[in-house]
Amino acid sequence: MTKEKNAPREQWGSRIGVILAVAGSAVGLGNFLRFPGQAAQNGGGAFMIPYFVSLLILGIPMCWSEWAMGRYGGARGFNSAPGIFGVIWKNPLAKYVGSIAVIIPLIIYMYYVVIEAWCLGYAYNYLTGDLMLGSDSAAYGAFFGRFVGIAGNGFLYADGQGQVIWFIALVFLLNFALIYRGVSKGIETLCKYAMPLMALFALCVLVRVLTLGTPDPAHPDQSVLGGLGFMWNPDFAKLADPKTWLAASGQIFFTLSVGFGIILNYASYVKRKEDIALSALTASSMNEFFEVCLGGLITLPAAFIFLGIAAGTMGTFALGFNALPNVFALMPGGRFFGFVWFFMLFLAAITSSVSMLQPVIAFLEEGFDLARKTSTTLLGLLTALGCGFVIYFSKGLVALDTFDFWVGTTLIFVLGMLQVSIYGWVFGVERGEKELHQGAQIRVPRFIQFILKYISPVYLLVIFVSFCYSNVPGYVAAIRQDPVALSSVAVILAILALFFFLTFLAGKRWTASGRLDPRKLDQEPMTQAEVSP
Amino acid sequence: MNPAGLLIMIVSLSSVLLLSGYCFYKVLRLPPQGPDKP
Repeated sequence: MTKEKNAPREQWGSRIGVILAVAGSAVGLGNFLRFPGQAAQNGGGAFMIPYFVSLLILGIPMCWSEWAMGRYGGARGFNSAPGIFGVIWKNPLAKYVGSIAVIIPLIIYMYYVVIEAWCLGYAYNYLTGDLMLGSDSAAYGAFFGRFVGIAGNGFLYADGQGQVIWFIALVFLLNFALIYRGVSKGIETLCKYAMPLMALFALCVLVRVLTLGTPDPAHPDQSVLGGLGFMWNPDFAKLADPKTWLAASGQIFFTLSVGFGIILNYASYVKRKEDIALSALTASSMNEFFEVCLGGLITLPAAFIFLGIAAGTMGTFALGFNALPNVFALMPGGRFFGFVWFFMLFLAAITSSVSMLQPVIAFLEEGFDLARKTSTTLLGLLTALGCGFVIYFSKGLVALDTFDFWVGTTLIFVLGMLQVSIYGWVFGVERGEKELHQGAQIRVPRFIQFILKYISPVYLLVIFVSFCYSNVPGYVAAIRQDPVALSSVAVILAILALFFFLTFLAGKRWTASGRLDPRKLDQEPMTQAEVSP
Repeated sequence: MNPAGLLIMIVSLSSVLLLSGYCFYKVLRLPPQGPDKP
């Protein structure tokens, strides 16, 4: 039940391992499906200007701040965000701010694992040939609707309808088997194989897309160059529209997985003398490689070549699960490339989903001294309940969408703002800079600390207010009108209450054992013996 | 694809590739790090 006394602290096995794990957590469906759509709808090539500006003044600095706070907490014996914030901010509220960084990945996991199973299920259906439905685009919408149970609540539990449930069960077990093996043997090993494989699969599809030529002579404009132009031709007038800047900042914020609580947790397992400044930059640049170089060249150009300009107006799911299967059906060798593409998306998803479990496992283990078996079992039961809720209420994907809006978007903004403010104003930029440069071979420019203290919090606040202004009224109305949306919000609130209570209990244990003693924490990092409970 | 689009695409792709390449080059040149000592 409880952890072995003096068990060694978990650490990453290698430098490249932690970089691949953080990049694996960041690279997900958004890199291949959300980014191209955002770019096409916000000025094409012109979108890249606010995109790179946001990367430099928001994304990379925030990554550095999370890595610094994470390792600082890890060196003082804490791997979970409630403990890390308790170390950084000697205020009773700190632990509860930290618990948001446990709740976010937990709830996101409950629906993300379902989307992950869709990807695996689509890859399987390419192998069997069931997704080669010809040129009728409506057939792909119908397949998707049937596959995810969009027609009605409980549809997937009906006899003979729930093929996807088997994939969800398989993916669910796979995630927990990996997390049970631990940070180095589970997550790191997965990412060491999955990341190169993902790059290889994506390059394979990229070569196919770039050699398509002009498949339909009746539409000479729908060619490879036309597709690339559709994605990259700039509309500079869009730069005058604040929405373009907000979309670019939002994309950077979500693509780098800042504000999820995952980097904070992963960085806490990094060794004291490791170069976190370079590791953070490498992981971010790898994420950008997948997003800009692969996502930017594959998804929309391929969809445009076969479907024309309609491809640019689609949402993430419509583009990924309706348009692209249609594209693969029309493409020479489409069955093979469809399998490769969806299996690649599955790998992108599993390296992210497994990272969502680790912050919760870390909290249960260090908050209650639970053994890995017990913490994994408890988390498995809790996530199975949440996941079952999302699967059951599949009509119109309302439950999934509600979880994604209130937790996967809104709460992430809130945590992002709190984290960067705590870094700049509580942890302190001087301490942050010192931590960042501990063992570093590269120097982080001083103005980054100024940005983190003054610019990033304000910038995030502006994005958040604008985001709330455009989206919150619609979702509040949905809660009033749709009982499923209301129930989903009730589930979120119940999980919040549960974890605030658990954080209260864990905090009492830490205080009683002296682990949060300010005199101890102000000293240099704890030794192995002190860290072990 | 117009010349401005081509230029932006080339600049974006090469910036990302150069940054990734530089980072990986630096990471692979770092000496291996042993576990933290008790």
